[in-house]
Amino acid sequence: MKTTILLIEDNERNRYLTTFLLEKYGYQVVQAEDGQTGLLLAQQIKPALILLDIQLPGMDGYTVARELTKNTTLQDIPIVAVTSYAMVGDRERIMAAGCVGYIEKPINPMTFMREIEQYLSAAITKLKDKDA
Amino acid sequence: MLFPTIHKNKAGWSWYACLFVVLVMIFIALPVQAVGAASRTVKVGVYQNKPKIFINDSGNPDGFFIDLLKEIATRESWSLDYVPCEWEACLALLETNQIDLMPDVAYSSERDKLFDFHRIPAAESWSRVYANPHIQINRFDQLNGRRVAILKGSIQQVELSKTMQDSGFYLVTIPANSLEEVFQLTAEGSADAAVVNQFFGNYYYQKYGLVRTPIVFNATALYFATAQGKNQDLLDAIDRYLQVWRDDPISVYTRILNRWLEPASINQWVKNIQWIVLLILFLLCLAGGWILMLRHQVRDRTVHLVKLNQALSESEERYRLISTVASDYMFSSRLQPDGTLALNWVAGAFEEITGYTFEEYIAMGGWRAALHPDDVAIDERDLEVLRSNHPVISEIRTLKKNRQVRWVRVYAHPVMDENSHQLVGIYGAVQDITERKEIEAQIRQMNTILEMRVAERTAELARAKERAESADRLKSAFLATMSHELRTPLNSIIGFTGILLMGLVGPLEAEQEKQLNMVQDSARHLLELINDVLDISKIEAGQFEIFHEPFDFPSAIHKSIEKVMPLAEKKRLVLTAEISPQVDTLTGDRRRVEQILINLLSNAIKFTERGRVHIACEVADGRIVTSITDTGIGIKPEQMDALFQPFSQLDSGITRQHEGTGLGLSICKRLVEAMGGKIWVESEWNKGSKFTFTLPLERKSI
Repeated sequence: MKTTILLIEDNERNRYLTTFLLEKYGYQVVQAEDGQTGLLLAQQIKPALILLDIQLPGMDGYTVARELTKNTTLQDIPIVAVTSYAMVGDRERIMAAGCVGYIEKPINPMTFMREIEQYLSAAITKLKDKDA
Repeated sequence: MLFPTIHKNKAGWSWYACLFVVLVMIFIALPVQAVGAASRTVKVGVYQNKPKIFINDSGNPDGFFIDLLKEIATRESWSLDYVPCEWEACLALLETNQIDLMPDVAYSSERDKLFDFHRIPAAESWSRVYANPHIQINRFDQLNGRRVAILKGSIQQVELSKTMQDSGFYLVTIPANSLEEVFQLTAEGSADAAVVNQFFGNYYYQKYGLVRTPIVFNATALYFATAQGKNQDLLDAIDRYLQVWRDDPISVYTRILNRWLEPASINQWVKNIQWIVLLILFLLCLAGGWILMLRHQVRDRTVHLVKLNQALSESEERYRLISTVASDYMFSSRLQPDGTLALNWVAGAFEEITGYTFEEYIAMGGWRAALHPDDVAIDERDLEVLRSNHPVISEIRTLKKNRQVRWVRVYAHPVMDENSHQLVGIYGAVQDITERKEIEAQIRQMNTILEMRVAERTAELARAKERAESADRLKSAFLATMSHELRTPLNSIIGFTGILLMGLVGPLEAEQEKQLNMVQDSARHLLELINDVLDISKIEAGQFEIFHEPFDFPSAIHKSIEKVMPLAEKKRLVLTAEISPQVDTLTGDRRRVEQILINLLSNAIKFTERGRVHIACEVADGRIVTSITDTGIGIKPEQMDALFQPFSQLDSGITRQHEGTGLGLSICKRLVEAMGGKIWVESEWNKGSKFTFTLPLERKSI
């Protein structure tokens, strides 16, 4: 069974790019165009990882991250922010909202997959520790 | 010689005078009887003290006090019964109630025990110095060493001697038996100056050919007196009229006062003129032969006077310190029964400063009346200080006669009663300081204007700064937003190019791969630009974060070298490093330090076509000193200054050849400085450049 990744991203081209890359490396990608949809889908499919854009229409990425971590059934799913926010304090705010990682746009396809796999394996290790 | 002649003449007329007195008495008594309301007969003592009170040539009581009393008597329906007597005898009669009313009595505490006085003074009198016309006396100190004629045993004599002693002067007093004799002695030169009361003095000084000096002292208030507890109704009536008259400049009182204050009236002169003419003729005839002798005497006298004047000038020199100048006057005041101070004597530029003559000043109400209304409180306070036996130096405003405001500086010393320890008088000096005050006010005004200008200018600058800062914030916010918006499309460009080049879509032909590489290079350069713009805007908006964590400096250098190595290899440049073993851990921001190193290294590689790039690192003076040397094109001296400014890429021709943002060095400079270090460049055109930066090992908190 393929590992499922939830991608919350409003820009169509970027959504296509990330999805293409992840699928090429054998992941199943579920897309959400906004935060509200993202929250619903996360609840339904329980993905192994959530890639979250911060600048979203309506509910922004910070709120989505906070909502996800509040939910006890979803709080173990690692959230990685993929954003072009680069101002002072952005990284801190993102981490404070509940994300485990931060990838700055524009992404480098050569290194992007390596980072994703690192976050996934870290999450698996963490889950195993928890079970033990 | 002149005076006794007149006297003799007066005696000759005495029986006429007696007749006249009787007639006047009848005349005064008649209307009273006719009306039938003669409520009172008032017995009035009359003694000789011209022109205040005296028996005139017609044998009638006359003078200021008599005129004043007559006016009151008419209104009160008193019948006046004059009792001629000598002064001492008059007082004795008053004490035993043989007369009802005694005019012209100066108040004193001793007399207060024997007699009753009314409240409002009938007149003020003071002593004045009158001088022989050959002798100049305008100031108090000029009296020093002079022969002064004075009434024997008078209060003036005591007062003057005391005042002179207090001031460190001395004088020779020549006692005389009457005021006429005092003037006579002065007129004939036996005395240099005369001291008499001003009533007499002003009335007669011209007659004796004397000069009136501005020196006055010993002010006293004159009253009508009654035996103690006997005639209070008389005193009350007198007070009632004085109350109204004395404040009214056109009252009966003022008219009477003026009549007797004026120098000898014309009537008197007309009366005497025939006798004077005869007398002069007589003297001319009788003493014709004396004239030559007198001339001789005058010549002698002149020589003597010249000598005297010389001596005087010398002595004046000695008293220069205490002598008055044009802006000073000295004064002495006495406490009156009603608790107010009355001027006793003045000397110096009194008239120049106040605008009043002494007489006018007293009549106007004196010091307190001449004060600026707003400064009365200051005077009250000063008086309190004086009452507590302390001297006072005070700056206060007074009004001149012409209502002009003058600033004066008052130096006042208290005079205390030895027994009661109460203030009985003050003495001191008054100095006109108006000019100084005006200059001070101008300076203050100029200061205020200056301060206002400074405040205005400061406010302007603050506004300008505010505008500049808000414009700066706007710019930074704009750059940050723009940089963010540019990243979104770049994400697609770099991302898809990367995917294609990775062969994830399918194999690429050589030309396709070459062109996609070009797209990728351009996109990366664009990203670099965006990052630099963002950095600069963050730095300028003060939003730049610098971490302080210990990190291994040599490893940061190696990492940076690794990063630029491909570029150097591409250009076949030798890249060498020389790191001193002393260089190890540095506390700072690793990412920013690497940014600086990469920036300087890539610049060096970019601008060097052949040769080498060398990085050296060592510790000196508690700092890590890192330098990057190249054998490139170098920098022209005129370009050095602009080098670290934003967007100052050197030489547009080179820019094309060497792509860069033009922001790298200015970012490096700001980063180095933010970490407490310095950066500079040494370069020679066409030979190469050496960029050096220092970072402190121990970071001091900023």
